[in-house]
Amino acid sequence: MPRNQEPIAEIKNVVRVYKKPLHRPRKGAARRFVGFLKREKQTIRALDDVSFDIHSGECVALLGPNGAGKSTTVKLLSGILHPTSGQVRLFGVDPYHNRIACAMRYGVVFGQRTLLWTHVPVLESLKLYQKMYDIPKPVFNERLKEFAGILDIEQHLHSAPRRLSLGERMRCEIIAALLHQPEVIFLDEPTVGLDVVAKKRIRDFIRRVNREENVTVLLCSHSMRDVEELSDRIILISRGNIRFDGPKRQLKRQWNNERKVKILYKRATTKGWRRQLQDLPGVINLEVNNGQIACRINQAQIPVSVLLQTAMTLLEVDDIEVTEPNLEDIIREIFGDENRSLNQTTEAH
Amino acid sequence: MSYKDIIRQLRLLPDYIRISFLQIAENKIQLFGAFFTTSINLALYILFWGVITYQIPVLTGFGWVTWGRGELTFLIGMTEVAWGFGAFAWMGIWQIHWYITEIGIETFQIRPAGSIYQILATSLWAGGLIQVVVGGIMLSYSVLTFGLVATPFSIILGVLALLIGQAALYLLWSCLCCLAFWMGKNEGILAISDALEYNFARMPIDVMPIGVQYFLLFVFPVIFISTVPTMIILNLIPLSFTMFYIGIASLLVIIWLIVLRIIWNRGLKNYQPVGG
Repeated sequence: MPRNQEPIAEIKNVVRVYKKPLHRPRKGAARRFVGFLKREKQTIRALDDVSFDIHSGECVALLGPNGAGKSTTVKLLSGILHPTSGQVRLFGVDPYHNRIACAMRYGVVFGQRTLLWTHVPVLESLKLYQKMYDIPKPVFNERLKEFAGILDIEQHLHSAPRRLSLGERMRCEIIAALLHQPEVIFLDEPTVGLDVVAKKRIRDFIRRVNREENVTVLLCSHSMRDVEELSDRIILISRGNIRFDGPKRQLKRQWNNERKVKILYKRATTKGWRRQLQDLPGVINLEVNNGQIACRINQAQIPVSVLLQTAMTLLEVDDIEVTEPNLEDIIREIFGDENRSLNQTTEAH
Repeated sequence: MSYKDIIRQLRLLPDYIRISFLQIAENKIQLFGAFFTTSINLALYILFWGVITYQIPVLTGFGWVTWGRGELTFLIGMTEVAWGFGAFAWMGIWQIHWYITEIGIETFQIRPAGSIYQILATSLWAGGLIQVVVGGIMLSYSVLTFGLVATPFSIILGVLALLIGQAALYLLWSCLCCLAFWMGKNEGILAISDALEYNFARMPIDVMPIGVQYFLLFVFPVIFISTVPTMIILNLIPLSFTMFYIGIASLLVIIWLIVLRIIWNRGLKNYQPVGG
């Protein structure tokens, strides 16, 4: 990762606040009338003192649960939104105040929104973008031919997007975002709702432009497969705060104390074995089903060997399987912990 | 926005127009619907003025203009042309509040062009040109039947007044639609615009009391849509007055452009994205 050069995108101590009307049920006609006239507003800090930077050629995944602030981050970087406080820089300038200049140099794909005209052939939309982005005609033709070939959509270029499947449309959207040779692409849920074949095709394509054209990628996705395959660096964001920012392998190492253990047994040799296993420190979530025990353990508290030794004294063990958690498990664990603590806090109040 | 950006955006206009035609080609039924409603509207309009002119053969203005059957028939045609062109070129302004509150303006903001320009250009509706053609037929009929005189110079001035006047009126509505950044959806404002256009734009405005005329000239400039172009094309007012009208309309365009820019920029700072 070329850390010695100036970052291509930079977010410094950014706060973004939204005001949301509260629809609180009120008792009594008078109170309802007052509520209708003067609606209470809730202030939500979508981003709360967030700082990070992205360097040229990186492929960064921005992960977080719904409402974490991922899309807000992308919208701030693409100049759609203005931060409440803090500083956002893209290509060394403020993207909000230099929107057009920045838009010439970045591409955006919103999985839930279309950049194409729904009722006219895809090619017509792309031709308009050719002029909008000042793409020389030979370059446009060459890139379109190349991308359409890789993504296998040549036959769909003459169809209107409304007549295409979601996967076909999405591939066209990605071409529309990349034709002008952007230096950065922001991908907000680019594979949402797609089948596995379409997802793979899009992932391969993004990886290719990232590696061969050195296009910087900021990916927001709920698909861990996308993140596993594409990104080198992960930023975990939750309730407007960054929980983790670092290489993918570091995240795995940091949260890698957990193991999934499966034990197949013939019969129990000791009464109350289940209780004894459950009570071992570091054993999380033990389940027994048809002669199979599935549990998660925290290795820092109980090494796998100790668990197995204990299990062998209590049971006639047939087979054992120990697995490391994948990225999805880790993320689920991190955000699951957070939701649990949030629920506990809410209950306490 | 630099000079180069403005030129680049203007160069996109033929492509936007082409896409607009492709869209109506894709939705032919909608086109037939437009033709049907235009014809019905025109028939009702002719019926309305037929009844009026049966009762009063000549409408005398408060100024020096008098409106006989020929001038009124021309006004009917001009109104159709104006509304048709308005539907073609300015359809997007009625969608601004919808984009702000329901669809989101993100897809416009991420492209290297002005967002309002894109909303207008994306919403160009070639179906409106049917109304222009029908209005054109009506104009030709009135000239041929009633022996009205229109010189090429007066036609050029009239068309200029129509284009600038429409810009003045619809930029004002654009400003009001942009209030959706703070107010949310505001269809009520659009209903006022419809009421004003239907009740005043198709009338010979100079038969109204002078106060109403000033209101329709400076506050809600619907007078520029059809009455002023009709008077200019048919040489019903002196050239000095023509230039005065065009000057006022141009001034209003500049004022509303500046106000629109201010409202849009302030609104953007207040913008809350749709769906996060």
